[in-house]
Amino acid sequence: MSFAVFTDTSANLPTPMIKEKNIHIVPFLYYYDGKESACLDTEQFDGHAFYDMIREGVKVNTTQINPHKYVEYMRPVVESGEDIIFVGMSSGISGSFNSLRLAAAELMEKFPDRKVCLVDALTASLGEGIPVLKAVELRDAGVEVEEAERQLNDFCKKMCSVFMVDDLMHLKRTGRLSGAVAFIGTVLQLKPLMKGDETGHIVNIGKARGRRRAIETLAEKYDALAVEPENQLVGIAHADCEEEANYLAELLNKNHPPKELLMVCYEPVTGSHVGPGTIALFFEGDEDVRRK
Amino acid sequence: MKESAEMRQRYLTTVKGILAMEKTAVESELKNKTGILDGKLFAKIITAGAANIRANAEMINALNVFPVPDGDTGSNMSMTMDNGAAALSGEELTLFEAAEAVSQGMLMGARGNSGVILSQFFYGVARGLEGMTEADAVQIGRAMKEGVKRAYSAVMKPAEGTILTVARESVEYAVANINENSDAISVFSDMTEEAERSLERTPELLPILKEAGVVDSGGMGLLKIMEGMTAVLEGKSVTYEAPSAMQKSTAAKAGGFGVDSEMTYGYCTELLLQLQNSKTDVINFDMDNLNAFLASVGNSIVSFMNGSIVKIHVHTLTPEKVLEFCRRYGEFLTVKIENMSVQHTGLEEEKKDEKPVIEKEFGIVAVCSGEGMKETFEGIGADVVIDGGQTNNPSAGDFLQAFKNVSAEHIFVFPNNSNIILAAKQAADMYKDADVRVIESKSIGAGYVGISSFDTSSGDTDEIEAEINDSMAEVETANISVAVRDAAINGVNIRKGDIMGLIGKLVAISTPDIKKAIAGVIDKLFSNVKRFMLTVFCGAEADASVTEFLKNYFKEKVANGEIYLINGGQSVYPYILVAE
Repeated sequence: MSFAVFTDTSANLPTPMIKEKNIHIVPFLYYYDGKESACLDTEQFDGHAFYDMIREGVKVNTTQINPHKYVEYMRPVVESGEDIIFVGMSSGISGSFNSLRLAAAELMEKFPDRKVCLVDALTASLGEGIPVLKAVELRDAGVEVEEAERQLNDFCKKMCSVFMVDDLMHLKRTGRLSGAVAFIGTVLQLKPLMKGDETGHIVNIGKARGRRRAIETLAEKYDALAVEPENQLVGIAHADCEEEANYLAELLNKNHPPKELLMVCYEPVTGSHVGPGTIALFFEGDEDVRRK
Repeated sequence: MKESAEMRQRYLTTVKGILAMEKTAVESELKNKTGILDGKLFAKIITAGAANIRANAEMINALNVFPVPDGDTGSNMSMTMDNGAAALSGEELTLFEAAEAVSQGMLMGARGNSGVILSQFFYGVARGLEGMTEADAVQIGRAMKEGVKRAYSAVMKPAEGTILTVARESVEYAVANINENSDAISVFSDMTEEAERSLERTPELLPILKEAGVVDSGGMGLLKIMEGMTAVLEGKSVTYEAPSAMQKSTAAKAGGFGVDSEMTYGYCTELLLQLQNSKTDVINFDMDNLNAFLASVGNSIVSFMNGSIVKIHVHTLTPEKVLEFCRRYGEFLTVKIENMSVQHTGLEEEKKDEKPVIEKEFGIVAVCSGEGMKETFEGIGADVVIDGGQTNNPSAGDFLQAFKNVSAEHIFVFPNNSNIILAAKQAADMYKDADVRVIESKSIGAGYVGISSFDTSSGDTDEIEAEINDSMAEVETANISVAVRDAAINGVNIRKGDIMGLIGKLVAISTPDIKKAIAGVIDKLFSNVKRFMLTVFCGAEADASVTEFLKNYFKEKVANGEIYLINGGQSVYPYILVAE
């Protein structure tokens, strides 16, 4: 029996793709200048204007979704008799996943025959979006919900998220940086390299002198760690630096061209945490890739 | 060209005039004596040499290959000699004791390459006089040869047509002329005679001098020192007044800070602030905001929050502002404010011989000048910044003090100027309380890149050093400056008032239009396609519209290039461009 695929807007998938693949989506909210906005249609989002605003010093805040909201979104589907697979943003960087857990428990208590299976993406952006697309594949192939949950959890462990931020300040400000940083973060030219670790936290893995070298280091990671890239959908997300994202794509295609490449502009919620100028790369490695 | 030829003529015919100053007239007692050099006479020739180079320091500074007002050979050699003279205590010393005291003083006070070479020369002379109470012509000659040997060994790649040549040729000539009638007077006057001829030959040996139409400045300095020495031996009156910096200030003796003292070091301000709910949102207290404020009124900031208590350490000229700001958020548990000028002089007087307490494993000492530069270098991780640069070379003694202040087990030194490296190395050799590594950063740009790449995660000092050197390998620094006279260098014709683009030691371009000069420099720097990053130190004379042009030109020229603008506030060079 089939299931419905849910995710949140941090999966960073383009709205047309979400519609075409029949994915249910829970929008995250963000605030600035006293205004609340919701991540909705990616086609309407002006990334350049948004990240320029942060560059100018506007502080954007985000908030986690409460359990009640999640229940509201999922209840009609459960009521209609469908099971759910929800691929959510990493529990290591947002409290939303915990809300989601409470919501799922509540729904399953009320609807004992239904399954609401949760998959902790252990990362965000396309590192979460690619597993969502995988869930769609499994759904369309008619895989049973619990088997799909198992496969997706394994898949997320293998999803490598590495990224370069332009300035660590943003991650520090919003408390999304875990662990120690081995260098002084005040040198403008030194670009911090980060990854999502095996527990879904964001940690510093080094630095590169200049953005170009940082991008080259990301490509080197891909060359070294990607498993069968020719069969993979690889993701690149950028926070208003498309030209450099294209350079990264060029580098990926040079040695081990992936089967497919999806490039997106960071949606505003995750994007406000990593900051303008971030470039992230998401691909599938082996079971231990998050420890490397 | 015409102007500089005239200048050269003028310098070469400078009379052996010595500035007559008041105080301690030094008169030769050699007349009708044996011509033997003893400790007393040695002290006199040193002060006479110091007096004459000081009188000629400005003229020597102007003997600059580049038409940029940044020559400092005369000042460097003069200050080095002053340190030698200051080391003489006035007691009766044997010849060796006097020579040893002078050489130690000069080793400490050595500034610039020429100063280091000079100090090594006198160190060699002292070695040649070891154990002697006095010396005759033959012994003087031998000691001088020792000095020459030592001077040559001070430089990794000795170049001819420099102070080394003048020293060697003059000593060789004087030694060859020694006979049974020779005495101290004849040895020194022979040396001086030959030094003048040798100096005139320097442009033949060093093409860059010939092209610029000048003689070697270090050689000229040596000649002036010898002239002073010979003059006093020949019975001329020479007066020497120790520069004021060498005299102990009465304020310092009185405890460090008196009625006429200037507040230069500010206050070391430390406080414990109890945040209060009535004044602020304690849990979400914004440390970044606090730090930004502290940075606007001071430096050497250490701050952290433990629970609801904030600890602050800051050096500031306006502690009242710090107190006022902090009280907006809470009340003080303790406050300590100390005048650092008192601390400073106190330290100098009392703790001179104390061994530093090692506080950390790795430390960084850097040389740069200007407040903006200093802040920048501190910001990227320099522990101690020595004020200095092209026109103001720090002495070996300045480095020694800095090493003490860093109090680290391993110290990396960034001289950031090719003319400062030797003094840093000399200090490193003299310093015994830490493992000191002099990184041969020849420009502000190289030093900036080297320090900002500093990474101790390997924990291995050799590896850290190698990584620093790797990071600097690809760096090229260019200086934009205004020509102060006509010149022709590396085939480039320079007119007075032109904007010159100097890449390393080469004149890349010279044009009346600063934008053209900048464009030309960027074109050359980035003809190497591996480079993509440009850091620009904007000087005191930088102009906003020119800076904008620079930025745009770079972005057009270098695809996916990265440019970083830093307010360096440096003088002489409106822009320093660092390409990597």
